[in-house]
Amino acid sequence: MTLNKLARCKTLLGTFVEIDLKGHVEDSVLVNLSEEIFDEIQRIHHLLSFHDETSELSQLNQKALNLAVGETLTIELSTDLNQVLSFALELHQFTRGNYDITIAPSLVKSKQLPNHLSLNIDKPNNLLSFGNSFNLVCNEGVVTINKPLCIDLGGIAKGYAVDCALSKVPDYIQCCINAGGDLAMSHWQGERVNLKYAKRSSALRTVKMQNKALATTGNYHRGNKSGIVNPLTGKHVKFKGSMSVFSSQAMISDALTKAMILSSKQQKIKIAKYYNAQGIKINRLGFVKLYY
Amino acid sequence: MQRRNFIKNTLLGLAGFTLMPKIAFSKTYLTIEQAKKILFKDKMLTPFPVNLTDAQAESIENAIDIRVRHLDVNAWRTESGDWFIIDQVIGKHENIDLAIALSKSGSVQGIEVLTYRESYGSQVMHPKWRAQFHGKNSSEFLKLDKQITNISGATLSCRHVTDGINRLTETHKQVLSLL
Repeated sequence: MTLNKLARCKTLLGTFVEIDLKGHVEDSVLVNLSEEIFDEIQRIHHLLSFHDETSELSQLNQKALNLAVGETLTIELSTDLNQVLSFALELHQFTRGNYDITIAPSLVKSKQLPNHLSLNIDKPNNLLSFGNSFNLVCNEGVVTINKPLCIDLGGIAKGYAVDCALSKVPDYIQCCINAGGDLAMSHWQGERVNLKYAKRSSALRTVKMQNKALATTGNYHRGNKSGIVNPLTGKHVKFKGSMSVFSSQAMISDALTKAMILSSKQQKIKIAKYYNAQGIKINRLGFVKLYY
Repeated sequence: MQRRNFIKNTLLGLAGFTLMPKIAFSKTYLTIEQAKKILFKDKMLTPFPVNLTDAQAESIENAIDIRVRHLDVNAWRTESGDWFIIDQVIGKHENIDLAIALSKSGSVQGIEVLTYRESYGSQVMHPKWRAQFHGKNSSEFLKLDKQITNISGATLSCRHVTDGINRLTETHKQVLSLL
């Protein structure tokens, strides 16, 4: 059997999701596998999307926002939401609040997220009335919330979707999944990848894959609007260039890019060591700094 | 003499800057035939090109507030009345070829990105660059294309693809469903 290849791209998770498959199998096997991968990404999208009003996350947000003062909410979570929330809360604790999934009100205020949950954000002081990750406890598949809050998993769910999708691929097939910069490869040793650090087409740095997964965050497609919010101040952070992180899981890489942007140099190294990750910061002129 | 050299160097510099080739990255995923096979399996597809009139294009634009750039609809049809359409979507810095499968009633059955071309600068507005399309290649600009396999960068929104799909479903509602 000769080596067959298949490359497909669909619009999912609000971005372009590319799949590259190679294997000594029939074309139809690759097509069926690619369908399975896209279906898995779609499944995660329906669970964790902020934009989808029927998603498990939107239902959780709805209940959390209707919480009365002094009341505590306890909800059983699906395995997927539990896994993502548990990791996000662990990272929140480790980074001392530099990574927080409860920044949705700030993103809704800057119109980067829709206000379909009718958040009261007209006045700047209203943002202070929302709770943060300190008001969330996730334990054995059950989440407990003690203050009205709103969660956005935009900075972690794409990575998780890529991990879930890659787990569907058998060992004898080489696979690369790239969901808007969150990338994971089944056979990553010796592979090369391009890191894009500015809007211009030539702003690329070619590096060797250091681990199975890679994620990059940057603001250069957003014009003057920064998509990165400092959870401790609630303000949008000006960040030019890109931050890329290699690790063993796309979910970890995805979340660490945001945490590293907001951390000091020492904290970046500490985070990288703890999660066995490698961080690459490239400024808009192409100068590289490594953290590992 | 110094002034002459200054003018000469300035003009050469400007000429070099304006004539400098701009790189455009591209990635090809599926051919039209592969997309047909994935979206319609072994169903027979017959070419059914449609030309929109100016009035129809205006009516579609008014209904959904999205610009109709091309009057020709590159379409195929199955015996049961389903549609396969190849379309081009132009974003701020990219040019995307799409394949879309619509049922007889107009619901979206599947979408495939066939080609993605990224560019930067005024190139996007150049008619020859925009003419790069399946079956309508512009060799002058394709020379600048560079096939890049794996790029990890800031997340790119696909909103303009969603706009393109809305335009095609509206085209089906107003024109194709009546044919």
